[in-house]
Amino acid sequence: MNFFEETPLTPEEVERRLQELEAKYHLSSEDFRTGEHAEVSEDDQFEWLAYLDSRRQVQAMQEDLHRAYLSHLSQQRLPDSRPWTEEQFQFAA
Amino acid sequence: MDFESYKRRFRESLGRLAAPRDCKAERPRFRPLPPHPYSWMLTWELRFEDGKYIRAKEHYSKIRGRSEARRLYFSFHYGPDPAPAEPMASDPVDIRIDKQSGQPPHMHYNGPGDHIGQDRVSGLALEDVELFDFLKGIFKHRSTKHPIHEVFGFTIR
Repeated sequence: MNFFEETPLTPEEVERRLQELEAKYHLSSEDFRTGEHAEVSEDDQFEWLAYLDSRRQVQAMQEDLHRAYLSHLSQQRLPDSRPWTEEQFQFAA
Repeated sequence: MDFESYKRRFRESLGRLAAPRDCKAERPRFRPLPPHPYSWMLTWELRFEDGKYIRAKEHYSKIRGRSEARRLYFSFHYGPDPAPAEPMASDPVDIRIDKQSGQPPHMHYNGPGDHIGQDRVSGLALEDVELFDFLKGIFKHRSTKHPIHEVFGFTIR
């Protein structure tokens, strides 16, 4: 017998849950995050904060990945590349 | 820690936990969140025949730049069961120890109104309270009838 219930959520499902909570309480996630909201049930507060954190974590990972990619690109040197010469800028004069 | 090691530890702790005869537990609900496997939620409710219940929640979140998660939020609540109504922060409570995102932990004791911070609590590190230690404490309080603060060994100023 499995004693646990396990329901993994995708980023899309997290976004959908956030939209559902915003609609349920007629409250934006930003307003929820920055204020006290006694009307929001304990369970919904807990989930709302967790979903917002999940969204932020995914965005941070994407930013880290993108930064690493750009850093990798800037370190790469193409085989036929060389320093710029003055002649290559003559058309701009 | 990641989700798999958390589940393994949870399973081991559950195996060592003696269940009171008057207690019925729902199945613990794990909800892994992105980024997997470094973010997840747990919710778990245990009900007693006298109308009291325990509601436990934990949220673990990834530590940026590391392949590891830390507990960001938790709430361990014991008191009268409000079912079928949704639990609210204003519900009567015997004890609740909780921590909201980015805020220091605090406690509610014998009522929901007073937010008791660590600066008023001696003998218990609120930040470090573990789920299964909380459960064992409540089970002991119920079986011995000793006051909760005596069982957990804290005093409030």
